[in-house]
Amino acid sequence: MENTGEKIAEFIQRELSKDKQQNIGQETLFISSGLVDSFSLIRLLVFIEDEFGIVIPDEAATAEAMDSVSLILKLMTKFGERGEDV
Amino acid sequence: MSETLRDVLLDHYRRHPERLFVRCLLTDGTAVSISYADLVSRGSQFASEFRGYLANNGDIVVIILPHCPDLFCTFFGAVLGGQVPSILSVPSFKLNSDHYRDELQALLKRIDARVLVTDSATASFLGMVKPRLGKAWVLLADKLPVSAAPIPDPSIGPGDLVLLQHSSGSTGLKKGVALSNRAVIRQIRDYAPTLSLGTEDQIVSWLPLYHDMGLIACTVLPAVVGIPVTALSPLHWVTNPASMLQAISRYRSTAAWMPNFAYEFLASRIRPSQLGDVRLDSMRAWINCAEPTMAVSHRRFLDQYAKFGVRPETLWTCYAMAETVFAVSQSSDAVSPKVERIDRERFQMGNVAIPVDGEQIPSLEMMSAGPLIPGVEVKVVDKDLNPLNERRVGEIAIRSASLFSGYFLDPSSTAKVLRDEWFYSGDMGYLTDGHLFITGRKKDLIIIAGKNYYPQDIERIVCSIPGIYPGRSVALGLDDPAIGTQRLIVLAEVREKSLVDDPRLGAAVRKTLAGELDCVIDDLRLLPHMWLLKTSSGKIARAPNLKRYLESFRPDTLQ
Repeated sequence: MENTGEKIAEFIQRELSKDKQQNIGQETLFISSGLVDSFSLIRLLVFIEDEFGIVIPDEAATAEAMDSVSLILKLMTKFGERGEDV
Repeated sequence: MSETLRDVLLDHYRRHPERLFVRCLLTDGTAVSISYADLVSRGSQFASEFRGYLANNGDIVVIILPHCPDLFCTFFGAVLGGQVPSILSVPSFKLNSDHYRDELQALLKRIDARVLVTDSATASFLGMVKPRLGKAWVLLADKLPVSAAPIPDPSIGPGDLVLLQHSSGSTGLKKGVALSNRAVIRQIRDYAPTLSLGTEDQIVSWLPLYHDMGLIACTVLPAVVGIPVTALSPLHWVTNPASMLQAISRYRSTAAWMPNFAYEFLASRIRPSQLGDVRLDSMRAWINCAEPTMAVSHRRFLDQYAKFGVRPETLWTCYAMAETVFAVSQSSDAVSPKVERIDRERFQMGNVAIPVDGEQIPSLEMMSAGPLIPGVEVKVVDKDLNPLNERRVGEIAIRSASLFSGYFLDPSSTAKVLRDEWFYSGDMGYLTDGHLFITGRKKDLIIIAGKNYYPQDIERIVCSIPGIYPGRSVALGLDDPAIGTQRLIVLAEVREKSLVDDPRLGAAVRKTLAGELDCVIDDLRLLPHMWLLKTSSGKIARAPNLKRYLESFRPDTLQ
């Protein structure tokens, strides 16, 4: 799980964040802090699907529910086929 | 001939009550169908509720609801009841709720709104625990009774207001575009034949209804013409753009309006595996509107979707604004948008659009917004309002049978733009061969993904942050063809040298702007005092600072 969170944080920082100086931690609210726009969420969803094989359904994939790495990990646990193995 | 929107709605209701008006696709994949009978029935219930709190016909009803069937029913309920609805955007979770509520209360007071319709979740988010916000009663659509109500019978005429369309911006800058029944009906009667809309057509839309393209083109127009709309949630579409294409394929939609960025978004963000055997060949009109249109975006969209059935002759363009109800010009299958390359230097230095061939001369690619629609006259004028000849670039002025009545309760703003029956749009462009080309804006409006931002709003908020030099910041929109829209650049001078490029101050600026305007800065530069250029009159002008920014930082340093 730790490694998964780091990979996601690294992807957000490298690919999506508008401010490369700001470190993306597990609890950084990267959407409500104005670092990532909502149009980038689909890239994040695709990354999670490609990298971890987990599809987060539309109704759950809201900007509010994906505002931090730790929130995303909760969604992945909830919707991952392997649940806690993620 | 029906002369009010209410009359037209009731005419459809009496002639074909079971006809589908809107198919509201919900995030969980279900679809709620609303017929004209449903719309009039539920709308009458809302109108009856509103009437209990309103004194007169024409009182303002502000609606703040997420994508849901009641969004349509409250809007048309107010229309049926002779009230004047105005839809505002639902606050994003990012916004500072106290700030939003205070701004909303100021707006309600300014437009003398008597009723605010929202839902329990939004009221809770905004901390609205009392039955009133200022003088306006707060009604929760999800808590209102569902008992039957008679169809209201208010006394309203063609000259009466039918809706208020609010522009973007903070309370101070937000203007209510007041539209009469006559203007709205006339616009749609003039516009629909240009699109050759017929009963076999079906519109598909993910556009928000607080925007004129979502409200007029994709809600009021189909209600007047009597054709169905498949409506998706704008928030849902952003995270699942394929949902629009799947809806087109499933329901055989024929027409859609979208801002330019959406063509790029759809072309670049959907994987073929998400589309399966989607067929888009039912579409006969993809209408590019609401922000500068780019031919390159059409080409990329076509490259991606020709194999799914998109045909080049279905890619149309439109120039529209709330002040003319909607469309000013429109290309179609009869007249395709004209694409040409013009001499860049003569355009930039001489305000003239000279077509060039070949690649010897630096040039710009322009795509027209088509010919004027019936009932509309356009002249291009210089800064002294003298008409200009073809291919001379100037401000676009419009005279139309469907002009707005003015900015609501704001005569001074109205007088600045409405003179001798002409509306001075603030947009720049040129006319040639019967086509209207839009080249930019005289006003410094920034348009990002179809959403408008006033730079003054952004600059005021940035300058209020401790550490930023008051009055010395500038917000700029930079066209980026790669994403089909503008990027937001903010240049701000700081109070102390140690704060130049300070990451904590940068984080504060980003967070504050996200919380107050729900916008994300693409490139933020915290600069030493006196970096920004001023005009001879002492103002911080945007164009020279954009030039200095481009020279100093180069666009490829955009993050």
